[in-house]
Formats: sequence, structure tokens, C-alpha cells
Amino acid sequence: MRGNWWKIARLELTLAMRDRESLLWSLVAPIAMAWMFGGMFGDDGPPAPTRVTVVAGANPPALRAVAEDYLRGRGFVIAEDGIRVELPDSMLDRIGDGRDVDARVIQGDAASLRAQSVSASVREMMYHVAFHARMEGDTLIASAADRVPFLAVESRTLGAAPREVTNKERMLPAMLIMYIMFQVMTFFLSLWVDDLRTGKIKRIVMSPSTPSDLLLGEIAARLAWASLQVVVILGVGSLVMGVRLDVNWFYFSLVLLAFMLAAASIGMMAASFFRTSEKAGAIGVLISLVLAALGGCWWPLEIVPAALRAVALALPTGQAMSAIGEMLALGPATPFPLTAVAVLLLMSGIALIVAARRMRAQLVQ
Amino acid sequence: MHLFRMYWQRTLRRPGSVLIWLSLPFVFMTIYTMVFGNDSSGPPKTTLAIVDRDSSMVSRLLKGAFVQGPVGEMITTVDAADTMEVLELFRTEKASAALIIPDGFGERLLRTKPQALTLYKNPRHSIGPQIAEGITRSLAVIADGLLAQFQQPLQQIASMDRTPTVDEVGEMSRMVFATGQNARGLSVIQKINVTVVEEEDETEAADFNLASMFFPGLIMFGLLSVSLHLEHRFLRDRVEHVTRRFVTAPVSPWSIAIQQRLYSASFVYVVGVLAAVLGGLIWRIPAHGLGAANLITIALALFVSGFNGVVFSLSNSVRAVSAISSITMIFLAILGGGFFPVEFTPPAFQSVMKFVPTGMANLGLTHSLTGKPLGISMPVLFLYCGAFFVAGMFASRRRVL
Repeated sequence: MRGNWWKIARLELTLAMRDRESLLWSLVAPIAMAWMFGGMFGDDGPPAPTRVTVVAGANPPALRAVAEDYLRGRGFVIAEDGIRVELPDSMLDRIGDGRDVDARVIQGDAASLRAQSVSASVREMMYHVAFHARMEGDTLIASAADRVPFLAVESRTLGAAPREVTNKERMLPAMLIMYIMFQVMTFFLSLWVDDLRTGKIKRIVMSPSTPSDLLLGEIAARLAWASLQVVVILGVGSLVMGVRLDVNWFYFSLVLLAFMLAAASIGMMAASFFRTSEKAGAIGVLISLVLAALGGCWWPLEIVPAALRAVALALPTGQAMSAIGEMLALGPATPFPLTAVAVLLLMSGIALIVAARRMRAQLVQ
Repeated sequence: MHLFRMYWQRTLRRPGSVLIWLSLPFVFMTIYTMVFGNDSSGPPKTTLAIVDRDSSMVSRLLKGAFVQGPVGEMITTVDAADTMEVLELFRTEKASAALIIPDGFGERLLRTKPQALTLYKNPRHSIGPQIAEGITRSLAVIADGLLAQFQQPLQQIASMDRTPTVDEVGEMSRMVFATGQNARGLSVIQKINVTVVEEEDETEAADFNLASMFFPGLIMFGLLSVSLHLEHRFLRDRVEHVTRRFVTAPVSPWSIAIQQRLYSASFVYVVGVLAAVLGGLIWRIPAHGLGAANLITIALALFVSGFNGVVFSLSNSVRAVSAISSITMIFLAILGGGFFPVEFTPPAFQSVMKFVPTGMANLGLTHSLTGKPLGISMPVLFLYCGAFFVAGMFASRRRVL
């Protein structure tokens, strides 16, 4: 049988639902942002091969051919409209004389990551030329061309095979995580502070409802709202944006549930610290955006320094994004995200205890 | 201008919330600096785990090659006992790739027998593994080149099945020396350099300053937030009928609306200038184009005040207005390059941003601070922002009563 907590939860949800603009914007914004960021920083499909244009300058044409062959062998497409690779003039003479050999990679409109990978391969090609190529008359002799190298590198993937995750596939869950946190830290946070200030909460407690009912009801309302966000955002993302997350859905749901519980509990805990909705709103926005940025909703955690990565894993957003990132990379073969679920539940438990104590104190003031 | 003065006094008396909102750009700039650095030092190092199953002098030399010179500036190595440990490092995202040095690696290398090193890539990462692979392949090319040239002396050393005599050691040393004298490529290894530049006429940016690209956008976001807070105070006055009592004072509704807008714009401007100066000092933003930046800040203050004046006149519901204004603020900030500078976005997106006042302001601010041509028309910006300011006054006037 459902108790008073359910009535409180329903009341909160009804209030939230009646706020049509809030409902609309809290659900539309994450989708729009995922679409916008996804479109801004990447293509919808798996990345096409990187196109490279070799500009040999004052060098023998044969050097250009060697450079193009080498880069082609590394998976680049040689084209006229690619990332420009400018070889230094008289490159072979410079190598022979031991002078500086400076090449330039001109990124243009291409992604910086592509330019970096071209740069790494150009450097490799130049080392190769330095050791193995020499001019005999007008002919360039590549001495290592027909022998098995003494030392080679074979690259493989350890564990499940990687998937090419599109930007939209990465952005949609990131925006979902960010906006679940945003919603509990702004709308619901202000709601609680306002209700406390206007005496609504005290009137609820004077009724047969207990403080436990109140806490449970508030948490249930936040969970229900977050669930609605999950359904709408992933549903619309799938139907409208064509984002199909190839993940183990049971594990994915578990991580989301644990995150929602942690976010709701932390939101309740945060709400118990404020007396005015102005400050609550301001700090709520600040906290949720900082949690999103540090947790990896704005950029992949792999690009941040080790110390910040450790900070991310101490945050609910970081735990959720790390687990989701692994699911997106490994697909349905992902191992059970035990650590993420356990840490999120632990965070939730701690926040709930603090929230319950502080709320009890607020009610008797 | 009694109300104008009263609004200023009221905010300065309890500046807590304003300060919280104003802390936003500083907090985010700190995060950006921690993630990307504030100069041209480049991204954080990629971590490469190394499983050394050989533990020979040669394998130690190879490991040492990853921590020296330019390679050491791009990569950090960490020892791992076996692939199980590598898997754990991958799972916890502490390594982007792992190099396996097989048992007998040194022995085979000295005997110049072809062999391959295995590089495992962390499937969770996309950027780090590419960097690790590029560096490992480059080192392998160097090692292969050296082996090819020192093949003869190495084979002679390896073929000896007894302790060499003093003469034989001398002979081998001479041979190694002679090969080294004639070796190609050795002297140039340290002199090969590849620079990535964005544009053809660009040289390597020596005075790159991340804050000059990101901070203007973040300040804009902070100003939008501060303005939101001011509008909330006006809204509360309206809902609690304080504004209506002003009319009975009597102050004309038009006077109230104008003073509210003027106060809001002036407050946003003053706060913007203070934040910009403070941020400029903290992150050592070069003092280029301060006059243009000041004018753009005035235009931005007019726009922010006017835009929020319109938004807050849409409804008397505090929650509805809160939701709409928060979301529109975030969209305006994003479209204006609040979180990512306009120049970092694709050209198509930039062309859209140029029609949004916040985007125009951001473009002008970043360009003026980095010493480039403004790229926007100042009269058009003022016309645009002025129109919003006037619209804000009309909308506010409508809601006074």
C-alpha cells in the first residue's frame, strides 16, 4: 500500500508538470544541446579517412612520391584538398648536412586530432627518409623498401573491439547526465527552499505525514522526473536524431538509476543548505555546471590530467560518464559496471543521511 | 533617478548572490586552465603502460627512449607487471596504450633478427592511443634504421661464442666507430621537427593565451547570470506589488521601466569591466584593443539588460520565468561562444553566431584581445543591442501595472 510519501511525491510532480515552460525547456534543452554540440564538433557517422596533401616544395618529385606512399600506408588518403603537409626545401640535403629539418602541417578546417595524427606520421616518415633514403643522380633510393624491418610495431586492442562512437552518441548521454543534475540542482532545489520559506513543508509535517514520508516523497518525485527525462531524451534522441546507443541496456539502466538516486539525494542535501531561492538558484546552477564540466560531460576524461581524472571519479557525474563511456566504447560486451554503481549508491547513501538530518533540523526551527 | 540609486544601494548592501553569479567565469576559467593549460604547452601527456617481459639492457634502453627529449614531453610511462594489470589500468582510464616488450627482445635485437613489438590500445580512448602509436612507430623506425646500419658489427658480436680477446674488442670498437662515422640520419634525429599550425601564414604561436580566447565568453555568461539575478529581484518586486506602490508614490510607469533598464545595464557594465580587469590580471591576458573591448562591453550590457527585460515580462510565474530565462541564457551563452570560443566552431556555425548579439560581442572581444581585426561591425552591434534595450523598456513598462 502506498503511504503519504507517494502523495507528497505526486504533489511535487504535479507542481512541476503544471509549470509547462519548465517542463518544456528542461526536456527540450538537453536534446537541442546534444544536437548542437554533436553538429558543432563532429559528423554523424563514423569518421571518414583523413585526407592529406603533400607539398614537396624545392625537393625532387621522387621525395613527394615516397612521402605520399608512406602516408598512404598509414591509412591517409592523398588528395588535393586535404590537410597540407609542407616538407622543408632541400630536405635530403638538410638531412645529409645535419641541419634543422622542419616540416609544417597546416590544419585548416580539419579537426585538430586529425592534424595531430598526420603530424605523428609525417615525423615517422621523415625518420624513415633520414635513415633509408638517398639520392643517386635524379633517382631516390629507399634502401629499406624491400626488406622486413628489424623492429616493427603491431597495434591491437586489448579487450573487446573498439567501436567508432559518433559525437552525437557521446553527447546525448552526456547532456542527459548534465540535465538530470541540472534539474535537481535548480528547479527542485528552489522548489524545496520556496516551500520551506512559505511554510508548505511545515504544514505537510503537521499532517499525519512523517519527516520520513517527506524525504521519501521528495526523492521519489526527483527520481520520477529524472526517469521522464531519460525516456524523453533517449526516445527523441533515437527517433529524431537517429542516435542508436549500442550498449548493454540492463547495465546502462542500472548506471542511470544509480546516478539518478545519487543526483536526487545530493540535490536534497544541497537544498537543505539554503534559506533563499535566489542563492539556491545561483549556487545550484554553479554546482551543476561544475559537476558536468569536471565529470566529463563537456569533454572526454581521457584528455584531462590525471589529477582531474581522479577528481572526476570522486563525482557522481564522473562515475556515470566513465561507466557510460566504457559502454559506448565496448558495446554490449562491456563488463558489469560494479565500481560505478557501488560508488554512486554510496554517494547517494551518504547524501541521504546528511539530507535527512539537516531537513529534520530545518523542520523544527 | 531615485529608483536607479535605490536599486544600486539595494544590490550593494547584500551582494552575496551577485558575487556567486560573478564567480562563474572565474570558476570555469580555472577549470579550463587546469584541463588545457593557459599557454602553448599543449595537452596533457598520454600515459603508456610498459610490460617488460625481457628485463634486458636493451629493453631498459627502449623504456628510457620514451622519457627523453621531445617524446618525454608528450608521453608518460608506467610499468605494468602483465596484461591483467594493463586491463585494470585501461579500465580505470589510467593508461591510453600499453607496449609489450617480449621475452628475448634484447637478444633478438642484438642478433638483428626481425621482430615486432605489440602495442595494445585502450578502446575507451581515441586520442591517447593515436599519440602513443605514432611515437612508438617513430621510435621503431629510428631503431630499425640504426640496426640496419650497425647490422655488421652487431652480427659479428652476436656470432662470438667465447669471451673476446683484447684485440677482438678493439677491432669491434673500431668497426662500430667506423660505422657510426658513415651512418646516415644519426645526427639529424634531434633536428627533425613537425609543427602543426592552423593557417598557412601562421607561425607557431609563442604568446598563445587561452584566457584571451575563453574568458570573454565566460564573462558574458557571468553577466547574463548576474542580469538574471537582477531581473528576479524586479520580478519579486512586481509579484509582491512593490512596483505598483512605486506608481502610487507617484512615479510614472515609464520612469520605473527606464530606471530599471538603466540600472540593470549600468550594473552589468560595471561588473563586466571589474571582472575583465581581474581576470586579465589573474590569467595575464595581453592588453590589446581595450578601447574596442570597452565599447563591446557597453553594447553587451545594453543587450543583456534589454533581452532579460523582455524575457521577464513574458510571465508573472516565478518558476516559469526562471525556467525560460535559465535556458535562454544558456543558449545565448553557447551561441555566443560562452563555453567554446566562436573561432573553435565550424564555419557554418560561426556564420549563425555572427547574427546573435552575444556571438558578435564574443567575436569582437576575442579578436580585439588577440590583436586581430574585429571581424564585426560596431554600428550594427550597437544598433542590434540598442534595439533589444528599447524592446526591454517597452516590455517592462507593460508589466509595471
